[in-house]
Amino acid sequence: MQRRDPGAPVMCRKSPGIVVSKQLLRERLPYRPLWWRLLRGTEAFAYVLMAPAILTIAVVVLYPTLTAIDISFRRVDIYTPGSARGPFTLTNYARLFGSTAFWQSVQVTLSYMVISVAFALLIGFGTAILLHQRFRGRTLARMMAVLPWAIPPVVAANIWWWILDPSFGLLNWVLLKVGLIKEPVNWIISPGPALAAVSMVTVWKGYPFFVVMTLAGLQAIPQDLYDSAAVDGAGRLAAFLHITLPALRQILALATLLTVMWVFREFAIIWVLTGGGPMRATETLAIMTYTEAFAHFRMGVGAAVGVVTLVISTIASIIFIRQSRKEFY
Amino acid sequence: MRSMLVRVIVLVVAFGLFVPRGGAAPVAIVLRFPSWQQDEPGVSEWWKEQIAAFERTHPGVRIEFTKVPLAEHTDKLIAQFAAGVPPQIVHVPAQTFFVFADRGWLESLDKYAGIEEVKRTYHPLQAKTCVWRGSTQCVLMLNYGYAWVYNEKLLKASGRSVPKNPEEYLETLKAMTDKEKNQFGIGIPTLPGFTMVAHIAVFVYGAGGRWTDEQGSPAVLTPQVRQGFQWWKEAVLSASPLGQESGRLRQLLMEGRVASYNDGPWMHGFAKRANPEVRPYLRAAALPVRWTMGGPSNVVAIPKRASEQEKRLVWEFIKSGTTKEAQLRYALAVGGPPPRQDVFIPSEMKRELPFFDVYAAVAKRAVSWIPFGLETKANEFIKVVSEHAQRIIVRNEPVDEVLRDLQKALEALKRQ
Repeated sequence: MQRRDPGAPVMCRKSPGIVVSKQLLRERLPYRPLWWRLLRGTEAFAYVLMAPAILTIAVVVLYPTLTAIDISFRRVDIYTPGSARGPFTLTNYARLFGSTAFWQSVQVTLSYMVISVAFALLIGFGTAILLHQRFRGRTLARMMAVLPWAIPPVVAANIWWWILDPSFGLLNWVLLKVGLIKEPVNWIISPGPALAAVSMVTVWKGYPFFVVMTLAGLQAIPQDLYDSAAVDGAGRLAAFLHITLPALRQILALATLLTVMWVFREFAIIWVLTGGGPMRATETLAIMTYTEAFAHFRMGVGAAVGVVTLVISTIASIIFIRQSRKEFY
Repeated sequence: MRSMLVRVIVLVVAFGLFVPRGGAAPVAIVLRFPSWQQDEPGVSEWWKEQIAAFERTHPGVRIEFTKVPLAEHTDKLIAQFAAGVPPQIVHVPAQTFFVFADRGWLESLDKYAGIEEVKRTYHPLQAKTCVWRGSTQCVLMLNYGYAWVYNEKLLKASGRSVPKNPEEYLETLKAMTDKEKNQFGIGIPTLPGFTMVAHIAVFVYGAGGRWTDEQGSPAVLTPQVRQGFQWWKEAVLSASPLGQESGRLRQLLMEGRVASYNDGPWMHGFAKRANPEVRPYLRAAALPVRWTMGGPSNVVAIPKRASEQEKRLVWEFIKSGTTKEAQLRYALAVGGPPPRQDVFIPSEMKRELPFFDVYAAVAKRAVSWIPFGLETKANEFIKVVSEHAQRIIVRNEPVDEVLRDLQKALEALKRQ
């Protein structure tokens, strides 16, 4: 059998006119192991490449989730990895569904979510429409508008705690000065105002996300659509209702979905401002999960609250995803 | 050029890694010591001196003294114990010590040399607090009583003198209050949590009430508890800023915006940081009630999960703080009597501590506010009491009605 000269030139398959030396190819192309060369181009190759990411997700997300689901079905006070597991039981769920505190927590979570997301959406959308106009200082205005997003939640909550202080806070002082209230509002220790306060801070922290998303969406709408509409005699309101809003539908649905998820698991703002109080008025499911597991040392019950939260947020996600499937273009 | 740069970087890194720094001994063992007292004025300096002295006599051992806020301390420790990685030095408020002891997480100290001296020389609360199921599992750091720390200038301006009974006390607080000017007679924490319940206990225990009876059953339907809650409600609604926590209230006292605050001997450390125009007028007096709230404040312990070598080192560290000399320095740092009873504090040393004698007197007659019978459910107890108490001041619900609900809630907690 005749041996080939390793340095002999070969023809490039894709561009037959180009002839290169094999030696040159070996020197320039990186070394690939045998398994790489064998699997390349096959379906298995894709799985091999994805394996590190899948393994990481399995360790970081899947294992804790499965563990939480497992201990939610067992009587566990304090979970220690490797400790003997008790028998399967529905006690935690029975206890949860039979307690008024849980249902109050569900109600608080839904109220908090609806108020926070609705206001963040309206304010964020309105701000984005304004910031989409041409005016002097627009870049600075855009920067200022998204600033709350960049502030860590714990820092933001502490700043607001000082602003909302019932006796010495800025907000009460301003409201008293302008005559909107006659006596200081107990923002942190009265149930109604406390929920309003945590929602207000969540809106302040969350509306910039809508601004960024909406601005991106607005910039992607072709000007031709507005020009055609103008030729057809459409006014500004008609263009807004029939072009801008439908074009932003998908992006707003996505932003709303992500904000709903964020509000559902929001912990830092509520914990720093009210700790879930007063009288559980701001105890969302996220706060309840923590207090049951780490304050009352009932990790089984805490895990059950977490699982219920997971189910509710999954259902919410499915509804939103279905709603947002309608294409505009 | 690039290879030259790489060589320089490698040399610098190698130099940093392998050249001994300042001749310090390499650290072989690190003992973790999380505490809320890491930056607390007064007592933190004592801890730091103890750590420095220990590290000098134990080359290769380093104590990692880190800050964890009191409000989060117990929860974080629980999580660390549950994960099997507790800190080697366990420092907890006495109220939550039982949560750890009850789960069998703490080492018995009875086998260590030196514990007998602690048992012999320490305040009786050492035995009452630290002996759990027959074995000594902690060392008491401080026993205390609350006193009334007030601004004498504001007291005189109100035309009142130091109150001698609860009725005078409440009238004095009201007289020092001018809500129009954001000036308050007293600061009482009203955010749910440990300090809120501690400050309710000042009134409840002051009136002779107790959370539980001698059998450890909830007992909040007594006339004394009712009286205590009434006093607390009156003081909060008429003379205190609402929605505040202890750190902020101490600061307001130091700024002269609240005229008084009920607190333990650690107030000395905070008073040193008061505004110059307020500091000279700060005074302390015993609370004008028959029983003073107080008892064991905080304890140190060793986790069972530590290695034998670590346990031995931690015990040596704890023991170094129980000597007469260390206890004398502790008394001066914390501003109150130390748990070791045979320590004599010369009067010239107490000059820097103007409230010392008051705190020494109240510590002697202080009553522990630990809810015996519910001590292993301390966190939940605090939450239940806070929530019910808030109904009284936020919704203005009748004390009797709230106490009936509180009794039921505590009984349910006891049954769990």
